[in-house]
Amino acid sequence: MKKTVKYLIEAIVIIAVLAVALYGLSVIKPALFGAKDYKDIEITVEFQQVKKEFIENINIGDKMLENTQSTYFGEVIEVGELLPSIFLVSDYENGKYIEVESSEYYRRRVVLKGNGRVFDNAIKLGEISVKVGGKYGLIFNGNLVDGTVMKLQVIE
Amino acid sequence: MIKNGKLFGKINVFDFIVIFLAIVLAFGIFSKFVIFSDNEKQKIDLTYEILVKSVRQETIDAFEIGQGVYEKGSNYYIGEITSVKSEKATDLMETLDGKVIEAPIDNRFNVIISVEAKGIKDQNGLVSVNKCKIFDGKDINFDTQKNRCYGTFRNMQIK
Repeated sequence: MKKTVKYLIEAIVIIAVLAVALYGLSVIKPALFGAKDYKDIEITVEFQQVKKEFIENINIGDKMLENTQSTYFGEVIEVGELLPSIFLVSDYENGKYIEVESSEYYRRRVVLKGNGRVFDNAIKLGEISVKVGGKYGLIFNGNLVDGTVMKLQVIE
Repeated sequence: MIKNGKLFGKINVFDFIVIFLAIVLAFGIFSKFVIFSDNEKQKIDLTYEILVKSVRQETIDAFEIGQGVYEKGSNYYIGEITSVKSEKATDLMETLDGKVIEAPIDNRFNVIISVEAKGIKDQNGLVSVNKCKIFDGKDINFDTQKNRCYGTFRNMQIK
């Protein structure tokens, strides 16, 4: 009887320790538990307020990496027009904030095709949670340029 | 103190550790479900809005009705989007004639997201959804599947 109680208590403790360890793992690496299938994701990125030479030579098929974790973001499948950059300035005379174009800086949108995991609260490329409006340092053609994500579309 | 693997020559060290952990576990369960139970908390259905200022049209388009809203950092689920409205964004400006006005901003919008959630109201009247306290005027960093925004709770109503 005494031994049975002892084994029971030991079993409870071992199960509790395992449960705590699994819970900890699920917090640190949720992908291991809630991982969904990888899906193709189209990511529209806008480069804004950039010198012309950094973005004039983007071509379909170019690959882009995220700077901090060297995560593969995707391959360029669409290249938008190279346009003068837009700055928001104060128009004190007319009492409004207006957008004006600059002849020194440029903007361009590109669409990338990447592969990531889709969760209820995030879309992840590698371990990076990609959000609309989020700014990411992207490496391509030997340059590092900040791009803002404008649209995310999961290809079903 | 420890003789032949026994504490004070009487208790087996491994047995002592196991019994100690069992007591800690029992206390944990007891405090979770008995001492600090939700007995004094009332379950409620609530609605609230989150105001996000000065964003572009693309951010508005990325909000979808039916999507979950999550507190950034803790990742707590805090409700489901039921509607998305927008209005022209403005900001304070001192004009050349010395007046301070709410000046409109080109191509920027304020978004009002309505959210529905199940939460609890404690004995002090504080409302929370999954440990995230919800009250008008509180700022929050939050995530949806496609957006990460900084907004302000407003118009919280208990159904």
